[in-house]
Amino acid sequence: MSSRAQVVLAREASRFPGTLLGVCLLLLAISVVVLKSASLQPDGSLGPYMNRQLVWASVGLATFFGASLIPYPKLGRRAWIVYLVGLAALGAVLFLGTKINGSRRWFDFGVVRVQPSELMKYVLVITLAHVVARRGEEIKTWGGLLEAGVISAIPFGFVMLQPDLGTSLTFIPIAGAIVFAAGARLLHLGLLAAAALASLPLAWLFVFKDYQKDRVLSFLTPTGDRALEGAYQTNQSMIAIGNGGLWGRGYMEGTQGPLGFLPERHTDFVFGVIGEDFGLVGAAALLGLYGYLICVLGQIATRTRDPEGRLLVVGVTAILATQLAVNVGMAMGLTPVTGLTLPLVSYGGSSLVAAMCGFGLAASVARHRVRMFVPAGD
Amino acid sequence: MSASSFVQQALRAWQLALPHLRLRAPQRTHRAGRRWAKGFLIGVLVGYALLSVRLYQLQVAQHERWKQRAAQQHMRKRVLPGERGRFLMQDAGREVVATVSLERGSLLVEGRARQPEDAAALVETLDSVLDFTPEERAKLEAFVAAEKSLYVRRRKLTPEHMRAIREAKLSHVSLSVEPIRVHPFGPLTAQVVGLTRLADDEARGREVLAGTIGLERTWNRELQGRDGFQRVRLDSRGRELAEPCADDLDPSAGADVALTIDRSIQAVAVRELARTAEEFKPQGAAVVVVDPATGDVLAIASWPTADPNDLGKDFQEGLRLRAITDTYEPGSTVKPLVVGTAWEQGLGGPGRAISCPQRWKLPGRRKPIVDVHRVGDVTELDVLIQSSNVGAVKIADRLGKDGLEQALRAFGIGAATGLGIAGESRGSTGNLSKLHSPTVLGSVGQGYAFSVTPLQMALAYGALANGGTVYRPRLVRALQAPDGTPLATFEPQVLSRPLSAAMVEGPLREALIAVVNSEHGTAKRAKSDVYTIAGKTGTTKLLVDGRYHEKEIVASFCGFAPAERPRLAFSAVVWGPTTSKGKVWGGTVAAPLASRVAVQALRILGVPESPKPAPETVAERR
Repeated sequence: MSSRAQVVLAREASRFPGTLLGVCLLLLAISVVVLKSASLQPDGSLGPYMNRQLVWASVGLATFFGASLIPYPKLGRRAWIVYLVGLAALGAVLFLGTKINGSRRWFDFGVVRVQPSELMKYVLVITLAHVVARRGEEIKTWGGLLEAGVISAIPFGFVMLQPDLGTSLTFIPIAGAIVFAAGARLLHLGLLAAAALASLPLAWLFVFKDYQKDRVLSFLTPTGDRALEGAYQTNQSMIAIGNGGLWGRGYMEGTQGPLGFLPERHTDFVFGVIGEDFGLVGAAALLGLYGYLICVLGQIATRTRDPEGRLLVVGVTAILATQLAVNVGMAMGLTPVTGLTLPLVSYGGSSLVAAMCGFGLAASVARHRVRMFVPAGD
Repeated sequence: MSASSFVQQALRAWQLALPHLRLRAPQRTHRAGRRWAKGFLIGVLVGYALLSVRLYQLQVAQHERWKQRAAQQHMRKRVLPGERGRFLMQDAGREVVATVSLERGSLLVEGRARQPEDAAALVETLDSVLDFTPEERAKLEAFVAAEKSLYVRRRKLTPEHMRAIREAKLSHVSLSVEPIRVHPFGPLTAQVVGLTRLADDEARGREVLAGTIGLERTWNRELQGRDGFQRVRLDSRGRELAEPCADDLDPSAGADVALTIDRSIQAVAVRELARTAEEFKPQGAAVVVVDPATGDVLAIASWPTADPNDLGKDFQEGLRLRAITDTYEPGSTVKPLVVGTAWEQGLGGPGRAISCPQRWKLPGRRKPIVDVHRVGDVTELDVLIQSSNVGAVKIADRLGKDGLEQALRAFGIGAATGLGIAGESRGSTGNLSKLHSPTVLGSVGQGYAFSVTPLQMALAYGALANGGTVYRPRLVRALQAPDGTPLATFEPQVLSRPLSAAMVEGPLREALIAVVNSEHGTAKRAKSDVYTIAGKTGTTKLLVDGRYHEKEIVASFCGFAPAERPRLAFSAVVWGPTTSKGKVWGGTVAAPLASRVAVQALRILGVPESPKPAPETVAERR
């Protein structure tokens, strides 16, 4: 190895956000461990999720490295292409997707099912980061906000049509976080939020599907009609978590999960398994780890002076924070039941690969930000 | 600390916590950057605060509540029923089960048909398994036509039925298991053991068998088992999974009640009662066989009887143990007791001469005392043998009213025997203390104006058999654990000793042997070639609603056997045998019945045959 190559490698290594990768690896390891418990069947056998998740984790890691190698400014310059491809996928899934539980969200490729809306979140982040950063101070005007709003609203609409209210609603905090970080006026954002709230009754009447109304209603009245599926799931999840207590019932020693009371325990309600097996200690440790991940991402964002890179990381962080809050909140009955996964820990290829892709982009930003300070050629 | 300075400090802490990310370039974030970072930090902190509070609330503050709810879902405390104890009878030195609990299926079909196919399948399956009455069939058809909701209840289903129904996986059908009582000897034990019904037991939290009549009721508490339980883990589909836990409690069965009743003797009594009933079509009949040495009830039976395994309509009559619930006026059978007591007290003697005209007026009594045949001048022993009313009243008169009552009470008459079965009548000697003395005395001397139960008479005759001791009846020998270890044993109890052995084994026994075995005895039909039977017949008018029936009688026979060394004392009572067959009285109805029972019972007990009696000697001595 030439000395030149060694220098480049050392430089790259010093710039590479090892902490970010480390936390991601830790979360993936936790995911594999927890999914073993979550795939425990009443008869003592194990479901296939742990091994599959191992495969997905490898794919995710590759994606992470791949994404971290992409020079994000080049990606930004092609943001519109990425955006259009994402929209095309969202449009196609409405016609070609597999219908599961009444909504078309997945492409079924036999071996894998791909959920375009998972990827669309990151596509939106890339696009918005590029567009908003290029517009600069325009974001302080209604015009700039409108542009960002339109870019967000189109995929929002597509995902609503699937229908997948949970995922589509995450677009709002993502877009909000990006425009807020770009310097949008609080007054504008506040007015928009007020307008959204005011239009809720109209949405209730014309947009929401019955099952979505049920979920919201069951969230608002958790002690009400137990027949509501959402209420049942939340209730079971709360039982599992509460059953865990301070120290938990022990790894794979839980009852509500393995006996089949906790629904979707390998995907949406995996937090219930963690809460039951590892108790407050384990659940809090996991939340702490996520908190640390948010900090790491936040640190990258605050250290990045290039607006596009910063907004990119803000967007990735916003996705992480939103999914975390909604998923954990849902498991504890704080938020309505949506199909949002617990990033990196829930079983599922699309979600895992998309998240690792996002973190890889953040790593790319971390690698590139130094160039903003140090002139080319070191 | 103001909110903004707190955020400042938190930001600094954040950066300090991540020193490895410190950049080479100096920190010079612009104002906008600091603003959004603060905003985000606040958002994240608020979110974390909410999640943490909730997590603490669920896992620590409300932990017990959620744990309980989890347990409610996946734990079932399955009750392991503690079986009700059994009833045991004696059978040639062994014990045989008279009553035992079994588990049988119970089927409930309820509801309105939602799917016609389901309803049709339901009816078809039930039809192939169960028999339906035409009414039920009509109900089923209406059910299939979705016109009416259905309610069909079936009990005592065999495991095969249950399996067939369960495998058909029918809607509207619920199956459960209930304990039932099975009586292997059916009518033999019905009146003694009694019945149970399923009743809610609050302490045990389920329906259990509870005794309603008979010994089932008397010993209900001792018969009750103690339920055990087993914790079972369930999955979300209700399938049972886990192994039993350590704190499971095994159930324990209730105590077995060991009866003194001998299965074979009881069977003989029931069979012979049925035979007598067939012959004389009476209103009712009863036989009691006791062991004179202990008061053990070897057989106690009444006709009509009922099969508790298959109670039809009008089973109530069949479940009445007339041997203790029904009373009668004992008539002449009381004479040995009264005369014996008088002799015992020195108010006469067997050899003393007594004049017995056919009609005799007791001073102060309006109606004269009448004998069926003229007895004439005889010994007092002959008064018993020839059953002279005149003679008996004359001797009773010597005891006086109070003495007479005392005599009867000493034999256990007028008081409940304490057999331990609800509904026992104590008979009555009340008239003796109430009514005008000579009138009553005259009646009582003939065995009228007071009442007894067949059991009381069997026990009184037990005293004539055993040398003068009246025992309390013993029907329950012991309470036993299921493995046979005794939990409680009950010893024979002496009620009184009204007569001396010399009196009993001398003249009284001689008289009672003669009644059966001599030429002039009134109970010649009780005579047996195998064993010497001793006893006394009684014939009284049947009391119907406090008035004497013009034609109907009560025929009775009390006695013991074998006379030389009595092993049994017994009484047989037949209420209202039909008189269409001619002369019907104690000697023709009750005496053969008692004799047949006694002879067979003695054979069952393996008692050696009596030496051939010599009735001539009795006649000669007379």
